[in-house]
Amino acid sequence: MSRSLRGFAVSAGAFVALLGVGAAFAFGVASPFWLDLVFWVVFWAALAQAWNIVGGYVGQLSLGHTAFFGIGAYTSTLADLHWDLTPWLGSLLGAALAAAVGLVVAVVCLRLRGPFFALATLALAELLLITAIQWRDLTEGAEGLTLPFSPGLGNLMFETKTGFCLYALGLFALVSAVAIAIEHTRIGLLLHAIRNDEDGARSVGVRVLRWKVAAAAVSAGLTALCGTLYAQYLQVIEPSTVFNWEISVQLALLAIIGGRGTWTGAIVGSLFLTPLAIGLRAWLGSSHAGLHLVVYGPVLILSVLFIPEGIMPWVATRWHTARARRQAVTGAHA
Amino acid sequence: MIILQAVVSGLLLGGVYALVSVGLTLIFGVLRIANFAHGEFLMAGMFLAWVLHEQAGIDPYLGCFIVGPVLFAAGLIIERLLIRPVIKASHMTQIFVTVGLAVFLQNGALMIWGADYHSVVLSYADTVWFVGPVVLSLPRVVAFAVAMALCLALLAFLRWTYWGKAVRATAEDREIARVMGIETEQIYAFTFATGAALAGIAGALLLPIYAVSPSVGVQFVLVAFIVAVLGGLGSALGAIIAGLAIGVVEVLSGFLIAPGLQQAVYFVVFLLVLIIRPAGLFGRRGAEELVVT
Amino acid sequence: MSGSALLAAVGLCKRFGGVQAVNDVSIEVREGEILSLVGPNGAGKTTLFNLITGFIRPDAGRVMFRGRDVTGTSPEKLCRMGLVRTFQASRVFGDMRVDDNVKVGAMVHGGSAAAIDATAQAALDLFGTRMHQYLDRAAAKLSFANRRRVEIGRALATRPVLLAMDEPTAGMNPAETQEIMGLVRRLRDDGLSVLIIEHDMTLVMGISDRVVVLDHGEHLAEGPPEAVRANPAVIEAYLGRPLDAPQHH
Repeated sequence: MSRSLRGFAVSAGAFVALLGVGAAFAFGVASPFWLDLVFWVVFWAALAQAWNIVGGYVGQLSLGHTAFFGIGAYTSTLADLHWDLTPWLGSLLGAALAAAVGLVVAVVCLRLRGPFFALATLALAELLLITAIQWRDLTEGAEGLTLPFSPGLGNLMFETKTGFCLYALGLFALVSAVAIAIEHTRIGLLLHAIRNDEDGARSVGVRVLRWKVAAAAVSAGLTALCGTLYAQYLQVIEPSTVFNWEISVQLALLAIIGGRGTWTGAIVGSLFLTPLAIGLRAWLGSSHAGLHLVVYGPVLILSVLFIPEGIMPWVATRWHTARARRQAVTGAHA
Repeated sequence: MIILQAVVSGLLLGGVYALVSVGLTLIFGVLRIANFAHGEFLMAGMFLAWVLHEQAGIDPYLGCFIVGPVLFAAGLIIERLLIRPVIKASHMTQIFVTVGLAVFLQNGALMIWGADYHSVVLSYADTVWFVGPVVLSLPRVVAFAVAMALCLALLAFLRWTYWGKAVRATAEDREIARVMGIETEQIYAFTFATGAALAGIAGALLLPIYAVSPSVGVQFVLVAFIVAVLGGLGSALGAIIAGLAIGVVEVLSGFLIAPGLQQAVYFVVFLLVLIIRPAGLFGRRGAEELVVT
Repeated sequence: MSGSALLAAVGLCKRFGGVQAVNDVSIEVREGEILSLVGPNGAGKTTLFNLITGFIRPDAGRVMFRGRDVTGTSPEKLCRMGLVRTFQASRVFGDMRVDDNVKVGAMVHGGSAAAIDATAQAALDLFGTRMHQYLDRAAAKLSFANRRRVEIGRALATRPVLLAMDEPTAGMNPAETQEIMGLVRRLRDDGLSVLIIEHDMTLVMGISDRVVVLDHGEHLAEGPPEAVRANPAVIEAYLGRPLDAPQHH
């Protein structure tokens, strides 16, 4: 079996296995508290994975992904409230809108060297936050929007948390499938090349800008789908919860700690950090709002300083070195 | 006449923007790092000035004399511990170090002081002057005056002193600067600390005008970057002029179009700059496009 | 030996701030030739190179390639048209495997996975069996000379008609230099046209069909290697005027 085929089989196997584990948790866990935890772990894994498409594989840093998240949340919710549009379509609408916005920002910024994409996405997120607060006619302003509780598959709303866990798993599967497809096709090589050296890539014919913009648009769209998931789960959205800088930081953080440019990184990052965040928030109560983020700051700094490539690639490198050493010892080369 | 008032108010505001942004642009020019924690330095300075006022009754304008050195020292420490290790690292690493710092500072402030806005009440804060058809509020005039004085002093420093020239040389080409005997590590530390100090002082100057809360950092870091980009990343003069310009644009659009539109204005200006002239007013043309060695 | 002009740069100018890096330079690369671009440091060679290969936009002038005006065309497009360049500091894809590096080059014209693999393999085989042991190694971990080979292999995998190399042998020892140059000669004999920036004058003399000399951003001299070498203006540009000769300022 060729190297690439073997690699794909491994990834596909791991993918299916992970989904199986997730489904087992969704169906097996009874307590709403733990189900809620499962939901958030999968939710953040999906979000981090979406960011990974542009931040990890292509190396273009977005600091305002909450903008796309909020676009998704508001679009599907407004479409539902005003037009009775099913969230299935509403989420696609949100994704398309977010992808369009992401595309425009990407085209303007990604042809330039420098931190412009990061700045523009940050500015976009702030802009949308203020707009959502001020455009009361559309968004009800700071009070936010509430979705009525009407469970049903057509409404993408579920009576039990199990249903929502499966919804989250499905979304996670979608985003991860995109990531795996990238990793195991020639697209992955092109993006990796761009991430390593844009000029080198251009010199051998890679349409760098086109790929960067495409990745940004896809990432934005997938992030918006997660926004809809959020809206459906909590049934309440406000500008300050869906256009929130902390979301931008957290989803990037998870991808970076877990391992940018690998599809498993997002899972690892979320598995480690989501329970930590929820635990901190629960333990300290709302009187210490922000403590978990105070911890995030140093965590982020330490991880980029000491394990810049993230946990999964670090583990993979160790594993490969150990295997090579074992082979040398057993004389496999002889 | 409203226009004139708007322009004047805009200039007064722009002076402070210039002060915040000039440090940021220098940090980018010398260390080639986009300092996303810059707004938090302003927030820290603002809180420090507020604490000094609440606890010790020190007037914020006098508090500047404390805020400056404190933020300078903090900047030195931060540079040594966090920035120096990543000077040669990838852009993403550098940005995330400063983002991590920003998250830490913002939420640290949140933990200590809560999310509420705090303001100071000063006896003279309501004083206004009438100059022709224009109304000038004292705190804004003082903020403008101090900010511009510092900016001009900085320009003079960069132009005429040895250290200033060393800073410019390091920004131009750090390898050559080192070969010429400049201790680039000291320059990095000095530049970063100065940027932090200037941002902190700007915060102190703003305290009589705006209320302080942990979230002011994020708002100001955006303006600061947009000003820096408009002026040309790395150009102190550019940041000063762009700061004034953005101040005017912001206030004018509030009058002419609708108030509360600042973010939209910033975003549009930012995109326009990137589309039309990414190097900004005084940046080196073509430096931002894909240039090769 | 002279063929028609494959690439023609006419009147190129480029200014950076206060410096006129390239001033009204015209050169042409003919089909099937090896053209060397030489000149003292700061002569504007790399800038001219960047202008020709689409990395910088000229202030004035035109670039024609294969009969079409490609002024301002992006490097990606130029590569598809058959013009590929390598860099002075080998720009390999550091944390990608060597074979993947070359595959990216082979991908430019599309095709099945098998065809791409074959093209990539053929490109590396140009170096004999030397690179076979490094196929799965991350390119950044290779020696300096091997990184060069990867970069050249990657460029050749794009099946160019014109290969533009920026100081390909800088930092290589004589044996490595000879090997690369032998390769270039073989490629030229097979029909590839080559444009090289080089400092090593022995090399230039030994391999070039024609030489262009730049000095201070301007075209100084051009012609077969021996003629250029004997050109007094060229000698002066490199070595300076003898002290007892009349100075002009």
